[in-house]
Amino acid sequence: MVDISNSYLIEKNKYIGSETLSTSSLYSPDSTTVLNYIKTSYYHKQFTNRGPLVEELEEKLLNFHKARYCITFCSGFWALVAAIKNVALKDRKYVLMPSLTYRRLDDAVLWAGFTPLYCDIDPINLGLDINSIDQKYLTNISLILAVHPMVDCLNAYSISKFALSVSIPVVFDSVESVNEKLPEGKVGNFGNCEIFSLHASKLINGLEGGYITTNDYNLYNELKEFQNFSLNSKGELTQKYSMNAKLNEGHAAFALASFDELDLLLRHNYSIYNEYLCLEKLVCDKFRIRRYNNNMSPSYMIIVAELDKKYIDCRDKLIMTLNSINILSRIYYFPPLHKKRESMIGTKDLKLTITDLYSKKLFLLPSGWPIQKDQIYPIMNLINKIIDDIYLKKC
Amino acid sequence: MLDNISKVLPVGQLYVPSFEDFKDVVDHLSKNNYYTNHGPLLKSLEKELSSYLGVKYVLGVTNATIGLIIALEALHEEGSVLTPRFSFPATMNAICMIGANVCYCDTLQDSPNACLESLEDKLINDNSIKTILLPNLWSTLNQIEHIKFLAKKYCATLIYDSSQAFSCSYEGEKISINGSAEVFSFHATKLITSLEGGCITTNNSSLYEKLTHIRSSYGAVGNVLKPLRIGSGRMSELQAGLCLKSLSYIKRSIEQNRKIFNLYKELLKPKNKYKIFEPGSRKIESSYQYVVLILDQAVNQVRGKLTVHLNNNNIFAKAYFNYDFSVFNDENPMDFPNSIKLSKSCICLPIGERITPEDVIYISKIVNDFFDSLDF
Repeated sequence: MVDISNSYLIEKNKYIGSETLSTSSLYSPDSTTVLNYIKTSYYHKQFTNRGPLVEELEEKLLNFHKARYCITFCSGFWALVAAIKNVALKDRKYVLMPSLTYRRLDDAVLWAGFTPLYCDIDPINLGLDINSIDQKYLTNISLILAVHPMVDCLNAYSISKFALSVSIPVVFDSVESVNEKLPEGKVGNFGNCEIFSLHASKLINGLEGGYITTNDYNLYNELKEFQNFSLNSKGELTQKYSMNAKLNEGHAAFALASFDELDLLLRHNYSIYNEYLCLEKLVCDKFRIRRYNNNMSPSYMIIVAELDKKYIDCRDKLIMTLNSINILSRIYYFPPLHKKRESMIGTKDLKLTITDLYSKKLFLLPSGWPIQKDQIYPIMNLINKIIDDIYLKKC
Repeated sequence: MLDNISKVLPVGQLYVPSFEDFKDVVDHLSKNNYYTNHGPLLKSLEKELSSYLGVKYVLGVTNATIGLIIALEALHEEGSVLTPRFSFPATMNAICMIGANVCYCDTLQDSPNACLESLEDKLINDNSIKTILLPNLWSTLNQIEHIKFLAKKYCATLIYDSSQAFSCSYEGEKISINGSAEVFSFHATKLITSLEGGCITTNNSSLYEKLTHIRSSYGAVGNVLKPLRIGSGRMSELQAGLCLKSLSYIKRSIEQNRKIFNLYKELLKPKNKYKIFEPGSRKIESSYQYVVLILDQAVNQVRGKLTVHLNNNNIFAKAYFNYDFSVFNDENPMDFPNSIKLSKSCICLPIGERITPEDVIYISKIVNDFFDSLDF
């Protein structure tokens, strides 16, 4: 019997290279720039507790998003918890959110003391579909947690308008839409607040970290207290639920350096995305690349492939095979959250038809700063071959 | 000239690795393109710490508060968590963040350690208490054997918040395994640092597996039943690299602390107006991260004045910890007289990397002159 996996590995190493390929951005900022930034912290001898670099980063980010206030966090996850905790209506139970999304989103909701309630997604942009909301839950929804999908964007304006009409606050998880401009304004200005990540796999590499933008001064102050043990400017404790979620100066230095070089990464991402589009014809019977909306100034960071229904059953084996030869392709958000904790109240009688359909047919192609344009052709060729082999049950 | 001293004298340890060390770590990151998610530097740090502390398992985390949250989430099943009414707020924050009730006991008189009578009294009278979270403050330690005995007697899980006691030893052994889990801080103001950061230690393999699951979405080990809530507590490679550098200098840092502490003892003249808190004892070997003066009741009303006076002379002394802890629990503060007294009478003086013997001479003179000028 022929060892097909080994032949894939040989082909991968020969035509693509021996390095591990992933779907993470992993932008490597110039070391000298990072060191130049950190000199400021050494000069002021302050390395955390809202040091000079954190303040500089927040200033740059709020200008970038054209928002009034920005506050950095030690991670996007705890920023999310802080936002939910401080924005959601306290006397209600559910946080309305999509199911086909970031796999820790439900954990963030639980940490904030609420219960996730899932709704379906829009097949066009793969984001939360407000038309699918079950009206019977409306009076017990404390917050709408609207997540911008990996490719394309939510209609943030109409979601905000809907939220206002039913008097429910809305938080946007904009981790995957940092650079986007919507017709009504730049991402970072919608809802009660918006959450972003500075994780190494995201557009701005702060190693770890996150931030929130808001135009609400009171919320800004509450978030500031939440991330600093609930201490106010007088050093008094103000609230029971709080923690240490501050960004340190080292991570701020990386984020600042990455931010300065953002145009470089955007150009790189676009060239990779464009190459995938050019080579789509090689695999067009099997999958297509989901399109970014060029009018929204996207970051082109992630390449999402959508399998033809004939090949849907090949997906999981394809991912397993690719991972075994160091191509760390991923399933697009797996598992859908309503399948993860089926016992959770609020998910039992929900029919998430579009979510279920799209949870089976999407996967991510290698992308990010380490990928080179000339690697795309052999990647597409190899994937084409593997899908054929799986379909013909050769492996 | 001593009276013209211009540099700022902070309370924190601030043994931050040098700029050259920082550059080394950044170069390493750039070369390896590995930035976070349980990378090689973190693995190396956890191994080094495990060996240094003499414990089987170490988990590096984003910061000590998150370490406490993760440890509590893994160990506390239901009911209340008992803790002294005197600590840094992070101890109480962590309890509230997992959704548990805070229940207070008192401290000893003139010591941040838990009063065992008060602790046992609470355990007897409140059967909702399922976990004891004890801070080891000011680089001193609680009465370890007795507390272990009480936790066992009342079937309570014991966790130590040793954020202020890294590298302290009890009867010759570094602390790290006295509770089911123990949490340390690597904040910039601590003995070793990753700017922010911390770690959780344990000898229990199944607990370790559970902790790794809660810590993050990647890097989990074992096949334990998945916890209900998973958080995010990753330590980046930058943090881990800096902490490794910091750990390599620890012997020198402790020696510096010890010298500074002893010099304070030699130069300060308490004259019955205050005590210098002694963190070490026959059983306890301290890392001397804090110099704490506990003012006598007769003079404790001047603490604010003393703090301002010191601050005006660039000495950033702090009242550690002068907070209204009723925000976490509405029990009558008068039920905890020692804790209340302590929070009103302690003041912490600068010690750490930036403090020289000349600084101690300067600070001691200002403190001595201040108390000499008091008309009592």
